[in-house]
Amino acid sequence: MKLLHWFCTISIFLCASFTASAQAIEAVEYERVLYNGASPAQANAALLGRAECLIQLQRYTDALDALDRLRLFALSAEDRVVSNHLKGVSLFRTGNYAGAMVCFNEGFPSGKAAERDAVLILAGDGKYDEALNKAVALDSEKAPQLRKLFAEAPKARNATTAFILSFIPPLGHIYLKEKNWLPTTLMSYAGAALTAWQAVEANYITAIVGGGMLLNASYMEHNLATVQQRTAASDEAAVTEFLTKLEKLLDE
Amino acid sequence: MRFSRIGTAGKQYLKPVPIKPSVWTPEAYDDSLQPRYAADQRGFVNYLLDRGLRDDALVLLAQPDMVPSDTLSYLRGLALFDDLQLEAADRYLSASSLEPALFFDVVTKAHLGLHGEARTILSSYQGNKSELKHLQLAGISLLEADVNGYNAAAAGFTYSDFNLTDSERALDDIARTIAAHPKRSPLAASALSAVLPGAGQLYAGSLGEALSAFLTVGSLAGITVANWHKYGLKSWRTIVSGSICSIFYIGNIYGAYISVDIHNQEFYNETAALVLYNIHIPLRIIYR
Repeated sequence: MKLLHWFCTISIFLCASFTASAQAIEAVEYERVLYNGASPAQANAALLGRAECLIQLQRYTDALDALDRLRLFALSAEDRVVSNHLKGVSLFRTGNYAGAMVCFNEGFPSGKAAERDAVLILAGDGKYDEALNKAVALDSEKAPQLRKLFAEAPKARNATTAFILSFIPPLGHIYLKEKNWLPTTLMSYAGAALTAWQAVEANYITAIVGGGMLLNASYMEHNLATVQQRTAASDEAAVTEFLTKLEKLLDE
Repeated sequence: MRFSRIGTAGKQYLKPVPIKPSVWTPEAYDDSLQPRYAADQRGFVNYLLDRGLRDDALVLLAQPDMVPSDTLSYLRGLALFDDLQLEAADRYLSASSLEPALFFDVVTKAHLGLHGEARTILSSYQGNKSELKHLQLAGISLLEADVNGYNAAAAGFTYSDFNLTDSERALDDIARTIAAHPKRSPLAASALSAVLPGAGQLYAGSLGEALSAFLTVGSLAGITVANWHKYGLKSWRTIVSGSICSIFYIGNIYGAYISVDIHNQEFYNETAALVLYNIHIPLRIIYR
């Protein structure tokens, strides 16, 4: 049994390597079509083929580059939806969910693969209801698991709320679900305590310079100044985690 | 981006740019396949490289049906050079006896800091591109900040070959800048900052940092003196503020040393980037 498991694993690995290598050379040969001076229609066919290969190879930026070179004036309506799909997938994979959504709105081809990608793109853009409906329509057997997963979908955190909460450390950190809240919280309270104590003792210079420096380093820098940036990063991490779970569930 | 000249930030800046590891391994030649000759692929490979499609060029050149040849080694070296896999590029370019491979190999070795080897290759060159040879020799002298060596090599410039004129004039400008650049000593900067906090940073040419160091150390010294005067020398207030002041004072001396070091390094990096660019660009014009 163990031998069979290893045989299968090695076969799958070799097969995948061979496929990847074949796709890589196929992408090059599509590019050669353009080098040899193809007509606009031939160039479009080659670029779409190349983009598909590059997506399989997970070279999404290169795929986007190929799709940007499409001769739009010579693109048929059928090819246009294919290009929307490929561009949507590439943008989604590079984390540009809004851009992927624009491609989805311009029209995706019919078919299960495109529907699956549409679910991910809708979820990435925060349109959870639409994504859930589409996902259930795609595979009604998984409806309970999908509903459970979407019930836990991350809600975008409000940067203003995070900002207001961060005035009382470590509430801002907790709101953003950050793990490293202890050192900066201790620093902030130490700074505030030093300032207050020195002010009470009428040592105003020590209060301003010592406490002020400590407060500036911990409170302003770690709590307030970067709150907006960290809210976005925190949201991105939560969305990525959710999308990974959703994709796994869709592919099961 | 540099946030500070003190501590780890300064050290990070001083680290040399890491060379991209060479992970590329071509498949072994298989003579049972229909042979494909690199000479026939040269135009297509150049097209791929000019479009920035380095991965595709490397995929094509790694195929087992590519017949081993000087041209294949040259093209592999060129693609790896464009992909910044410089050590691998050096291996393939050295293995080719084509003239463009020799000049590209010199640039690769210059990037890798192998100036002596690059000089040896150029010394053995007897072809008709003698002005290009002088241009590269002059560039290597500048990378070593050897202005006299530069002048000797630049004697071969005619400023009449339009492929080379711009680079020759650019190297002349760089040589003049190097000759005029004052040599600052990190130790002198440290000594100055030890006498007057911030003076070393001022010597390094950083007015903002000089003011920052002077005000920080000065304020902390003021607090220490005030505490000493008010509570006495053995008071914990004087000891704490004095200790903090000492830490900042030592940091100011270290910062001055690092400031000059970084300033020198920045100057070297900027001139090296310009030199490498100017010994490389003519090759693109002449051979591609």
